[in-house]
Amino acid sequence: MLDAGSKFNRPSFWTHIKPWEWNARLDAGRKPPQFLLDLKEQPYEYPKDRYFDLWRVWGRRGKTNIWGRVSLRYGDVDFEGPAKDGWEVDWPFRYKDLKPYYDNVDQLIGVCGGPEDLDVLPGSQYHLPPVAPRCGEQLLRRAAKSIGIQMVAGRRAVLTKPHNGRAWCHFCGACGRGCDISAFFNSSDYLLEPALKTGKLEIVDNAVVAEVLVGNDGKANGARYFDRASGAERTVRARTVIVAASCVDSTRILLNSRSRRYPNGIGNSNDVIGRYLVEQVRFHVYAFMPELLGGPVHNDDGICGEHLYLPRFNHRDGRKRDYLRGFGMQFWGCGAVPNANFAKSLDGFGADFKRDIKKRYPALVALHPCGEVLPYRDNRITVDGTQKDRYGVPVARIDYKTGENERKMIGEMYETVEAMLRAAKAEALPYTRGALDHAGSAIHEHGTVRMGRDSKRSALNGFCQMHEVKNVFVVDGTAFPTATEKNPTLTILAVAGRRPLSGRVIAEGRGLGL
Amino acid sequence: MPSRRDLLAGAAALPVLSEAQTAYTPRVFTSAELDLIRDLAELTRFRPALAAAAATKAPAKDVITRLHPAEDPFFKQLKDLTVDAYDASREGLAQEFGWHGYTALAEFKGCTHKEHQGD
Repeated sequence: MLDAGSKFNRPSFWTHIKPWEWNARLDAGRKPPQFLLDLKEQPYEYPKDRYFDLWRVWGRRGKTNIWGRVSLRYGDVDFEGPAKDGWEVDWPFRYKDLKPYYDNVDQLIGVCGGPEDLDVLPGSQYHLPPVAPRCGEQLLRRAAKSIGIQMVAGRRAVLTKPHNGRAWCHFCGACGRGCDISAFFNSSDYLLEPALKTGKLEIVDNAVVAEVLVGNDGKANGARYFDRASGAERTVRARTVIVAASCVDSTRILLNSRSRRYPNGIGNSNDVIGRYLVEQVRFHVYAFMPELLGGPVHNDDGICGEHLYLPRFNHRDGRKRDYLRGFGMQFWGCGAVPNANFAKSLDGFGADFKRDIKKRYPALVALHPCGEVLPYRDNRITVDGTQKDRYGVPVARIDYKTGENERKMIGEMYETVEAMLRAAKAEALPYTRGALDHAGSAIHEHGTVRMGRDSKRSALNGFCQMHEVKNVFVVDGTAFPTATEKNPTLTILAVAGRRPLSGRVIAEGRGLGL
Repeated sequence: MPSRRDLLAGAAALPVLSEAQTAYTPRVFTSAELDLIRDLAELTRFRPALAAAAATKAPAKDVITRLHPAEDPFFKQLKDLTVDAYDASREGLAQEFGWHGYTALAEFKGCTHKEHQGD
């Protein structure tokens, strides 16, 4: 396996460091682990008027060092969406085909969750115990129920009891800094370390892949890469190549893999790769629950992030919308959080201001709706004419915008938030209706090397295998025909586990992971 | 310039000082508050304007509203800086607001209030 970085040193994480200790450490010249890739080392481009917020982690575990751990199964509402509404290519399988692999993943990594089993959010018999909601979340659930909207136990890849010999969560709530005991899933400790113990896996650290190499027979036969420290160019040979460098870098590698046989990039004779980039639309509204104003402050850290989830519901009432697909909602940041940033939106100053902050501090709730973005042909990643990185390889250019469908959906997303807050009699902090996060900030890029049954409109079959180059597999979010409104990691793992990919590599050996 | 610790201690003392002065209307800045403002001014590019405000002995609210109405960018920046600094401090976050997170717990009980349930 070629890894663009190296192993992050878990004991060096600043996991339990309080905010004032953090600042003191910085003042003393110390630095926390640098998970995010420095843009000076590997820039990317976007049109001047369309910023795209791209997070990349090069190194063992990648973004699973710091991910949100939300682990939601896709249902047939998701898999059948394109076939029913006709927007772009169909998923090449349905939930029943993927269920055994979801079950495998749940057992392997440990996912906590409740008993709910919904068409849009299938259940799992392997869930670990859910985590109790915080007061603010519980009150939001009550308010949502009063207007006919169901909230369910959050599903997170966090160990809420000992699992497969691993330590369970101690509820310190600082997961975004990397877990010091590996109590949530990360790809290194849970997948690579066990694989290394078999003696059948070799990992080359700091190997920045430039391209997949192709032989005279049109098959991939290895990769060209650069050593990140020395800049030396190297090649490695393989019978099977598996690309999983996260959406933007996987796409960049494939588009840069140009040869006489594949002048538009390997496996891209039909100009599909790089197109149909999808992400999600989301925004944030903060409010204060009247029952909690001026009340006691609890330790609300829990497993960090939401303990409840609001699944998509807009397909239930039978009312036809003027947009396609749907949205869900998450609730990270409810209760006592390690800041009082909300105070910047309050009026006043001085002692009265401080009293206002203190009164509201335990009552904070946060609502984060997240909606699906349709795949559009012109939302794309390209490498033509872009600047070159330090190795002389063209960087990615991301050209992405949302459309009329999303604009209409956002309207109902705001209406839902407002209805919930009205039902809760909550005091909302000022917000601008219609405002959205920057594109890319959901950190869920998908779709640029999508699966499908039609080899002219998709790059991969249902096993993430290239239609055109049979010994290349692409197993990250690039393979998804749609984004859905859900977090993708659990489904990425389940899809990657489908045969014949896993069987092929095990049987043939010499698989190369990028 | 006072140390960060002194600065934060000054901010932490504000409610006490203010409570003691509720009998006085309008109240004026205490020396600690003036020091705080002066030192925060060092952190901003608006130092001259802040220093002028700090030197004013007029009632606090009158000074603030006259020199820095709520929509004033300078006032907003000063206020936001204060929030950032104070709310990341032990004095502000832990001692005043009561946050005691980033701590290992044996269990997480969540909401146990019967009056919050109802579902």
